[in-house]
Amino acid sequence: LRRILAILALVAAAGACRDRPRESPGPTLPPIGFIDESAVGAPRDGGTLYRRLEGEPATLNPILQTSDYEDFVISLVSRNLVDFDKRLEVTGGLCDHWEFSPDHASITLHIREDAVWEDGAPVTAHDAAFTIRKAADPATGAVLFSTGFDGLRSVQELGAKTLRVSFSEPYAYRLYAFNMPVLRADRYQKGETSGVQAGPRLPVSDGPYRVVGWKTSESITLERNTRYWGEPGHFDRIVFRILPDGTQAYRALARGLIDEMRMTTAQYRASRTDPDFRKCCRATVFYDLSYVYVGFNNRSPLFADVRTRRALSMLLDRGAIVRDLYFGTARILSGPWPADLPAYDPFVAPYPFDPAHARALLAEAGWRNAGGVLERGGLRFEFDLLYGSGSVAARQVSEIYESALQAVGILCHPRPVEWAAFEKRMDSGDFQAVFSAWSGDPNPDLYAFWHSSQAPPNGLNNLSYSDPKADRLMEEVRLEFDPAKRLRLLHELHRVIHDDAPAIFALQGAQKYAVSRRIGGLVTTPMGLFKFWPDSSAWWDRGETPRP
Amino acid sequence: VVGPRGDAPALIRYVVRRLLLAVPTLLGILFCVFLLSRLAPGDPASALARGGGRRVSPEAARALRHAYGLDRPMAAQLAAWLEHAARLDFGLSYQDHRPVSTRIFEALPYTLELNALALLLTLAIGIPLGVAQARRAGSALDRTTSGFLFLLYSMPSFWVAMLLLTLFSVRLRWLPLFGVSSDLPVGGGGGTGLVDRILHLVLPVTCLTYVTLAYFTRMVRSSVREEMGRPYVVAAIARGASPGQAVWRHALRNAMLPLLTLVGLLLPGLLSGSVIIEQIFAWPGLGRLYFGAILARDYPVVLGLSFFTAVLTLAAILLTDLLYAAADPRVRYE
Repeated sequence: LRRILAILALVAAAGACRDRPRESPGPTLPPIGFIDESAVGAPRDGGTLYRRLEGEPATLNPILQTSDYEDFVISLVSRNLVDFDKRLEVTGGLCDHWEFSPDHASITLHIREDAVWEDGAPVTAHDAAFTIRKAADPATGAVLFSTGFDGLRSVQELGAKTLRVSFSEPYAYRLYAFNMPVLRADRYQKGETSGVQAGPRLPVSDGPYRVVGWKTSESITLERNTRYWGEPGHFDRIVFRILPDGTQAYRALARGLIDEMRMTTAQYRASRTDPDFRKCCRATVFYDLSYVYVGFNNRSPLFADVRTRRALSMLLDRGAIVRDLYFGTARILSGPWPADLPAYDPFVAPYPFDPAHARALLAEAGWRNAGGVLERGGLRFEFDLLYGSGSVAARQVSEIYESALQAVGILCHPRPVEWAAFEKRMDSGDFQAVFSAWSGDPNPDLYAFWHSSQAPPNGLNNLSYSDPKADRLMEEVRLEFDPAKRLRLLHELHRVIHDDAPAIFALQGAQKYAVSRRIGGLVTTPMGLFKFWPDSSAWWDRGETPRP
Repeated sequence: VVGPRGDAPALIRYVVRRLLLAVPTLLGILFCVFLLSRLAPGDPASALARGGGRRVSPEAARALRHAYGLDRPMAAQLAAWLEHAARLDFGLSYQDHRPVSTRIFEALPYTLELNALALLLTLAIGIPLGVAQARRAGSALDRTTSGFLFLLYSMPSFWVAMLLLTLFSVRLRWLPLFGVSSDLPVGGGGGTGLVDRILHLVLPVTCLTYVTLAYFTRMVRSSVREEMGRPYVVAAIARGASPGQAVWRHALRNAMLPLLTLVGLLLPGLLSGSVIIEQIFAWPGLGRLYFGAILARDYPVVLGLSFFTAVLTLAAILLTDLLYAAADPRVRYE
């Protein structure tokens, strides 16, 4: 028995060794960039696409969605009124055209004549109007869409397929609010009192696929919607497997059980030398619209002086972090947008890592070294840096920052906080400094996040940033309808915020996705692999790699 | 009140009294769970930003809190919840707006299947193994198996799960990677129907079994050894029983008494589910439901599940006590 056990243990250990990520594959940097294979090869119809969901969608109600898991499924089932294309420009969805009133305060939307639900009934202006009214009503809990309809004045149905939506004020990015799916009104009106929450669990499709099965915590199965009025999807079926464990997902990929997954940096590095992976899959690395930042509570006396904030920006060694933590798959930012948005001005240089200059700035701001710790008027330079627990990058970056700050006499204590608690403290402004992530949106309007009127408890300006010039620019951007002029304002705003340094817009880590080699028609964009039209409905089975 | 065993009125009186005593206990548990869940920082609105979610404006967050009645005084919330719970109405989940009971009963069979098999395996292996070790205490068999069980006991189950998966699912491809069954055209492993279901159970059941097995076997061993030295066992052998009969028929029955309590304590664990194992094997059970509900601050689900688990725990304790009395004639209902 002992011998058998010994052999078993050896086999298990050998297997474990082969699976472990190897050392760095050398100094070669991975290619980072977007892929567009939409015109490569002749698409074939048929087969099943297996996608991975990292968590269980809470709901498939199109307007109650809050997370990516929900969005991934819903976007193939429910078309939006308007959509984003692969260049992040607004394109038609359920609506094929629209026009604004001369004062830009109302918009008339025209729903496509051929747009129908999965049973053939037309998608009507009434459905759209019902959805907009529901989304705008705070009692519905459509938290993703409700803010788009702030200042909604009226929704008028002008015809079976035409509606006019009026707002109390004009707004340059109004169209973005209509990047929203539509509910089928007659399925909900009976339960009007309980809002839309009591509606059916499976949505009624007006998109290329329809939901045919949802096994809680296991899978969601979609089938091609035969009544779909647009370009049909290539796969017959799309199965979303709910696989929370990343290691398991990586294995499932090699076995052909899923066709795509987001990889961690460690998984990506392991995949580069893993023969099983190279046989089944390819990796695609690109920048999306998210970035990480170190934010300072601008209300705190510690960070009130702009020289102090600039000094703090010069103490984070981002070059070393990109090299040692991200292995080259990250880039340094200088402003509040991801670098792929036009609003980002590439001519604003990020603060360099420069401890000597930082020391000088701190001294200028009145900080004196008292027994190894900086002090000003009896105030010790000591603060907690909060981050969401479980984030490895946040922990590592915070620790690097902690030691750099310590070298100049600033005591920074990285503190992991459970997510819901972290968000709560962020929203109430109950912190001194945070390490957090910005998840992107093509809309460059910063008003809700950086305008002084939106500081806690009023809005999402968690850092309580306040600058009259920035405020004015943010207001102007919202009312400027000439795209070229708007871009100039945005670039000016970028420079103002950079100079104020309310946060260290630290870096953008590249997204790493694994995609099965059998997938054709792959397109990656700053939105990711999905979330833009036509999403994975344009993917097709190249049929080259037989499934194991 | 003291009644002899077999006295039915005494038994009924005892059960009724225990059931009445369970009510304040249950209320106490629920009060603590309610308080703990509300005292934990964060709320359903702030939990939305998790998992690729997006930021919620303070206005929308306020509307959400109002819709869930979270802006009312805590005592009023607790009273309202208790009032509904008394009618076995646990409300709607904040996450998917389905009844809490639906969500629980959807996940229950999966957890029950996994944990009942694990418990049965523990008993089926642990008892004979523990008895064998007790009978040959100090032998090579005893020392090898004890050492091995200690080794098992000290290994974390997520790590063992990963090793087993690497060997049996990735290298050898004998067993599926995850899930309950391969109902889809391309499955996680070979076999169909029942065979397929069993193949999917092998690894998660193994991972759940080995830890309990390790300490249960140790308990059996020490308990049986203690009884084996007693005069009545020696007397049985003197009356002509073989050493095997003496252990299995006489010593084991008495040795089972402390073990009964242990099994009783394992019973509620059957239903609570295992977060880690369910997560790794993508098993749609109660452990994942509970964990997800806590992260999402889905208070109705957290409270509903706590109620459910608390009731089962109290029932299991009562059942254990009754079985204890049935196994030992000296125990009286008092």
